[in-house]
Amino acid sequence: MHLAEPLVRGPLIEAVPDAVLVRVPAVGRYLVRAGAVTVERMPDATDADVRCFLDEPVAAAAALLDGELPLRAAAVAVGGRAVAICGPPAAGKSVLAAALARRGHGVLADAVVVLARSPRGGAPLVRPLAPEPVLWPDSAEELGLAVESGRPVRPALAKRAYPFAAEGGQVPLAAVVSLDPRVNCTEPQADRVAGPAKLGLLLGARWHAPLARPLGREPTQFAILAGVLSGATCVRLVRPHAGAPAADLARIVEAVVG
Amino acid sequence: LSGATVWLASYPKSGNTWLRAVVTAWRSGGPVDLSHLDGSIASSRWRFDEALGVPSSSMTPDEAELVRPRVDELLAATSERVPLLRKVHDGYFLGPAGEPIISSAATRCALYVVRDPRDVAVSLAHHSQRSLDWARRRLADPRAAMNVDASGLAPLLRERLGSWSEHVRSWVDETPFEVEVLRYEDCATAPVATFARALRFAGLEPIDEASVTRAVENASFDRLRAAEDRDGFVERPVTAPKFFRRGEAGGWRDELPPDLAAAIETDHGEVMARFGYR
Repeated sequence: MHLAEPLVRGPLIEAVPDAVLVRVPAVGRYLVRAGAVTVERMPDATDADVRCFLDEPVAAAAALLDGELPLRAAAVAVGGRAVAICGPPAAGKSVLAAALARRGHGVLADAVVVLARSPRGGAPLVRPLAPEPVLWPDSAEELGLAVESGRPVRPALAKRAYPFAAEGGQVPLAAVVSLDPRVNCTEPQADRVAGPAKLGLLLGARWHAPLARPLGREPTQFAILAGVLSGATCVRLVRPHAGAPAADLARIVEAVVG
Repeated sequence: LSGATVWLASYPKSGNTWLRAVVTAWRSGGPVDLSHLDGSIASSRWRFDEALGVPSSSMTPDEAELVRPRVDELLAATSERVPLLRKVHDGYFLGPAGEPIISSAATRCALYVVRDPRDVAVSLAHHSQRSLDWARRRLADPRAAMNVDASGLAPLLRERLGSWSEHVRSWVDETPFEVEVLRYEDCATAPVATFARALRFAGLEPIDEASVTRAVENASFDRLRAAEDRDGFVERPVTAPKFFRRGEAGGWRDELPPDLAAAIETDHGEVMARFGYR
């Protein structure tokens, strides 16, 4: 399984305008084309191993090919509108999504948030995608969940997917919250981001940005970003580097949207 | 070898941050901002995920290690700044498929900071808030590694250290690229000459005494400690009161019990002798 003359040739991802090939070591190859994914699995890979990568990167690649904008983020519906939670790895995106879910908000996505243009213009729409927060045991314990109650996502990893109430359908995006752990921060606080910084934050949250331009997807992505700029709030949620109670962060997010 | 990367390599608590601070101060010509030190760490999960588009949190540590050389090559090929300085605490070891975890194709050379393991043990014990005996055993443990707690997700990928002696030998004897060894003790007693040698080796030119002297002053222990007091430092463990604690060569003489000093000398005598640690 390979792509002839790829326009993008990364360590694990190759792409041409209508297909993305993802190679995951020891697991398999995923050929993503519009509306179809073909998997060639490695001999020792389990079903769970293969499934683990179907959201990120496979669903993200499919969304990109479909002219949507995939973000590395979790999302929850608060009051019927979506809040996307982005930030660096290990910043606590899934934990915050789960904490919001515990407070009664429907989960939309965990690893990848797909933004699509709204037919009515304005804020883009977020559709549900794998709405089960995946948590490591320490985070599950912090939230008071029975660690074993989650579904193992890969036999070799301790993280598990936890079922919460999922949001039923697509909803408009209300806010993008960027988790920002900082050493000189003692109390979590939300700072509104506007202007060029807002655009910079959104560009940085895109899933695998190097694909967009060579595959000719920048115009559609920028149209969607324009909808976010005009129709959604953007907030930097600064929290202590050593951690902060997820429930406190969840209350801050509710206040941002409310 | 024509890669863009200059590795700033060391066992933990051996002066790597000091070297980065001096290089940062030399490149900027001004004071050091601890949140923007040159030489981001090779095990950064964020850079790894950004480069690949596949989340390392869904990979096993072994799988991530298989891909690390490719990430090195991508970062070296796309770096706007040459040389690209990268900090690394991993030993220069082979990955699961038998390929070194550090890409030679991405590498120009490496600076390796070595420090008396008796001082390393004392510093490591304080940094980790563990006993001196734990630190002595850690330095002797061939399986020692960082970021291996499977119950949570660390911002850094697994870093395999091996024993202190293995770590030193791996970087000094095993690499196919050139490595310049800096003794922490020489950095302390002759900082300008030692760091000037390091900068020149890394291809950072032009080196003159005035600029290196200014960089050494801007990255002095007192100034780094003041910067940590003022701004914090992301590399301080949650449990440790300070990252910059004492910063001395030979402090082990009044902190390390004789039996532990003797045990470290037994564990690492051969490598210690090579670097003049008696």
